[in-house]
Amino acid sequence: MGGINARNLIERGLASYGRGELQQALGLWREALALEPKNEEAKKLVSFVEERMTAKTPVPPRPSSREPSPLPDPDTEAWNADEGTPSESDGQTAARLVRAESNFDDSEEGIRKRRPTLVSILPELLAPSTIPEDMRRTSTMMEAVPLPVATQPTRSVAVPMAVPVAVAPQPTRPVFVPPPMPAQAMGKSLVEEGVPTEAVQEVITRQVEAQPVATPSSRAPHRTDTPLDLALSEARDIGKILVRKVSDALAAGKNAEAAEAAEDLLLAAEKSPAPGIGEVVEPSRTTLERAFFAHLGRSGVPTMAVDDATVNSSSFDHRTGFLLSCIDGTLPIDTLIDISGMGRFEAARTLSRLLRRKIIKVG
Amino acid sequence: MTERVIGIDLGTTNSCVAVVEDGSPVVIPNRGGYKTTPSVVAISESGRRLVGHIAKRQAVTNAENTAYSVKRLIGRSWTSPAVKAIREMVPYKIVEGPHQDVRVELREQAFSLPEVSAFVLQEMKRVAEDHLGEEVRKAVVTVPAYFNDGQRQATKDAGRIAGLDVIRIINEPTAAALSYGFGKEIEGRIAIYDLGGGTFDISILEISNGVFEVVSTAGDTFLGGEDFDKRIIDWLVGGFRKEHNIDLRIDMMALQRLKDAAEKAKCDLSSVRETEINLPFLISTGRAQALHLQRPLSRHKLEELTHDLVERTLRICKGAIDDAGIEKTDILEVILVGGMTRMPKVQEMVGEFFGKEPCKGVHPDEVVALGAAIQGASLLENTADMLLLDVTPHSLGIMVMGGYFHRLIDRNTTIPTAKSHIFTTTREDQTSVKILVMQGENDRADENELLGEFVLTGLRKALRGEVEVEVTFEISADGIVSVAARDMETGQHQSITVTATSGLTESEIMSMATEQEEYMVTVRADESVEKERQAVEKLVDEAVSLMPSVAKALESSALGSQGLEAARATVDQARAALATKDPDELAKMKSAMGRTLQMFKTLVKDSEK
Repeated sequence: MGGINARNLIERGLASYGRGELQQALGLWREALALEPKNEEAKKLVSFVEERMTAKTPVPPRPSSREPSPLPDPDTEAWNADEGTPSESDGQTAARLVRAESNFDDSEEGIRKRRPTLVSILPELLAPSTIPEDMRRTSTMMEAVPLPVATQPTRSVAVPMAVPVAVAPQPTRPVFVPPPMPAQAMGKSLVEEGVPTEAVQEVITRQVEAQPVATPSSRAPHRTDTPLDLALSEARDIGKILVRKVSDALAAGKNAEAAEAAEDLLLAAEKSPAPGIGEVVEPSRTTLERAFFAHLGRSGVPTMAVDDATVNSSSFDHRTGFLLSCIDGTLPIDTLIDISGMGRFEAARTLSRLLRRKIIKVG
Repeated sequence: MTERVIGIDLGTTNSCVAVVEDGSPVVIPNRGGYKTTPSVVAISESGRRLVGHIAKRQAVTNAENTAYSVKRLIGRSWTSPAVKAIREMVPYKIVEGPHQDVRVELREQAFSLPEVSAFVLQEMKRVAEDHLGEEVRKAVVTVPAYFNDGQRQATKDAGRIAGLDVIRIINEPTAAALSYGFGKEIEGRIAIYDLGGGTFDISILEISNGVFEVVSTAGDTFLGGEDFDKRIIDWLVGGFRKEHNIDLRIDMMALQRLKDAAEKAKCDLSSVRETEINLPFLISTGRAQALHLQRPLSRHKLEELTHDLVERTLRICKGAIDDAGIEKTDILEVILVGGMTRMPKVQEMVGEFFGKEPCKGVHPDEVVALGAAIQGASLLENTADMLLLDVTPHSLGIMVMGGYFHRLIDRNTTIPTAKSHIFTTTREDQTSVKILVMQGENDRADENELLGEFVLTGLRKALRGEVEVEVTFEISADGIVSVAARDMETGQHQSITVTATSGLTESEIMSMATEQEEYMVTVRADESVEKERQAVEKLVDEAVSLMPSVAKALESSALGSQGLEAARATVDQARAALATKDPDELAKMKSAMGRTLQMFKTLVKDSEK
C-alpha cells in the first residue's frame, strides 16, 4: 500500500516539476520519502531539487516544443486568433470559432489584414475600365460587400463601404454588365470541381432565397458583379459552412465527421479557382488541424488495415506513399508526424484521410 | 543489493547494452524490441530530441538536423585532417568549439561531441534501467583499439554527461574476445574481424592463461555496412533513371525510403537468395501520378555489387597480420563482429583468407557489449581471473633535429610499458632542450599529433653532442603517458604527464551533466502526464462509443434525458482535462470517467436483458 502511495506521490511530483512547480514537487517527493524512507528514487529527486534550490538555480526551462502556450485573451481574439490555443477543449474551440466567425471582418481593411491570396492580382481582372464610374458606384439593395483588396487604388473597383438600403438608382446610360451565372449552373460547376454537394446545395438555397430581397448574412449579387465576383462570394460562403460543420462536429465529439468536413473544405479550396474558400481556410487551419488530430488521436499507434496488394492498387501521391512507408506499428501518431518531414498539418491530414479510407487503423 | 555495471558498445552506427544477470551476460532490448539502437541523434522540427531508431528514420528528410557517426569525430581537434574530411561528407553542420574542439550544430544549437554521444549513452542507460527496474550508475564502455587518449577521454566525458561513471574503457576487440572466451579455456591467437555499419577493424589478440593481449590492430574508419547499402541504392537509382528518366536522389523522401529498403534487402539476403524491393508511390511524375519501384535483388547481384568492399577489408587484414609478425596459420580462431559479417559472402571470403571457417558461436551485433558487461561484472567482483592487457594504438616519441619524429614506444606495444633513449645537444653551449612529445606514425614530426611539451634547463655549456639527456616514456596500466628528461651529468630532470582532454573543460562537463539530468527529469515528468492523458483518452473513447446505446437505454429509464446530459457533461469535462495537461485534473477525470463508463456499461447491459 505504502509503495503504491509513494509511487503516486513521485509521479505527481514529477508532473509538478514538469510544470515548473518546484516547491510542490519537493513537497510531494518528501511525502513519498516519509512513506518510504528507503525509496532511492524519492531520495534522489528530493536531493536533486534541494541542491538546485540551495544553489538558487532557477527552475529549468522546459523544452520549447513542449512549452504550454498561454491561453489567448478572448477579448482580443480575432478571426484568425485560433492559432496556438492547444489547451482549450473542442467545445470551447467550436464556441470560439462561431464567435470569431460572426466577427469575421469582411471589410476591405479586414481582407487586407488577412493572408494575401490571388486577391492581389484580382484588381486587374475586376476593374473593367469600360464600366463608368457612376455605374461602378451603383449599389443594389444589399449591404456593402467587400471586394478583394486593391493594391493599386486607381484601378480598383470603388465599392462604398456602407450603402444605405435604398432603391438603386438607374444608370444614366445603358452599359453591358455580364449577367451573373445562374446559381444552379454555378452549383453544378462547383460540384464538378469536388465541392461537397451538401455545402453547394446550402449556398444555392441561400442564394435563390436571397434573390428578391437582401439577406443579412450572405452576400447577394451586385449588379456590377462579374461571374468571378459571384464565384468568390459563393466559395467564401461554402467555406464558412464547412468550417462551421467542422467545429460543430468537433463539439459533438464526432471526430471522423469533423475530419471529413475539414477535408471537404480543403479539397474545395484546392479545386476552386476563386480565392474565396482560401480566405476562410487560412485562418481556420488550427481548427482543421484539431479536427484531424481528434480523428486520429495523438497517442494512438497506426497500423496497416489492408495488405500490400490493396495499397499498391490504390491511388496515392508520393508523399502519402512516404508516410505509409513509415507506418510500422510501433510509432505513435505524434512521433510519426514529427519524423514525417511534411509539416504537422499536411501529415495529420494525410493520415486522417488514410484512416477514413480504411487504409490504416489506429490502435 | 550489489550495484550493477552495464556494458555499452558505443558504436559508430549502432549501440548495444548488456548486463550480467545470474552469472550470464545478456543483451538488453530497447523499447522497440531491438537489441541494437542506432547511434543517431536528431532535433525534430518541433524541437524534440530524437535518439535511436526514430532519429534514423528521419535522417534523410531532416538531414541537416540529424547527427550520425559522431564517433568518427569525437576527441579530435578542429584542425585535424579527419575533421576536415568529414565536414565535406556529412549533411549536418560541424563548427569549431571554443577550445579548438569540434561541435555539431542542430537547429542552430551547438552540441559538443561528448554531449551528442552522451545522448546515445543516456538512451542505453535508460534501456538498461527500464529492464532492470533500478537506476544504473556504472558502465564499461568500449572503444576501437586505435582510439587515442583524447578520444578515450572524450568517451569517458560522454559517460559523465550521461550520468554514468565509466569505470573502464576497453578496446572493442578485447571485449569481443572476452565474450567469445567466456566460460572457455582458450589459449592462442585469435583474430577479431569487425565489419560494422560505418567502420572496419581487424585486431589480433593473444590469449594466454586468462590474459588477453592485443598484439596488433588496423582498420578503415570509412568502410562499413553503409557502403554496402550505398551500392544497392546506386543500383536502384540507376535502374529507375534508365526506365523513367527520373533521378530519385532529388527527392529526400524517396531517398529515405531507398536507404531503408536497401538496408532491409541487404539484411534479408543474408538468409534468403532473393528478395524484392517494393516501394509503391515512390516519386511523383509531376502529372498527379506517383511511380512505384519494384525490383528483385538476388544475393548473387549483391555480392557482385559489393565484392571490392570485402576485398578491401582483407587487404587491411593482411597488414594487421604482418604488423603482428605472425602467419595466417598462427591464428587459432577468427571471430566475426558487426552486422555486416552476417553476409554469407563476407563469411566465405574471410574463411578463405584465413584458411579456416570463422567462428559462428557469437552474435556479431552483441558480442562487444556482452564482453563489456563481463568486464564490468568482473571489475565489480574484483576477480583476478581475468586480466586485460591493452596496447598503445599509436607510436609515441619526440621531435628531433630536422623536424623528424623519433619513436620511443612503437604502436601495438603492450601497456604498461616504459622506454628510455639518450639524446645529445645539437649546438655548442646549449643550456636547454625543448622536448616535444608526439604521437603518430609519420617520420615527419609535424604530421603527427603533439601531446605536450616541456623544457629542460640548466645544462652544462659544452660542445655540441657532449651533453647527454635521457628521455623516458612511461605508460601506466590506465594509459596515462608520462615523459621525463634527465641531464645524465647533473641528474637534473624535468617531466610532464600527458593528460588526455576531450576538448571540454571541467566546468563545461559539469554543466552539461546537470543539463542532462534536468532534461531527463523533465522527460519523465512529461511521460507521466502523457500516461495519464492516454488513460483518460481511452476512457473517453470508450464512453463515446457507448453513448448511442446509453441514449437508447435511457429512453426507457427514469433518468431520461437528464441522465444523458449528465453523462455528456462528464465526457466534455474529460475532454477539457485532456487539453489542459494538468495531472491533478487528469487524475480526477480518470476516476470520474471510470465511474461514468462503469455506469454506461451497466445501463447497456441491463437494457439488453
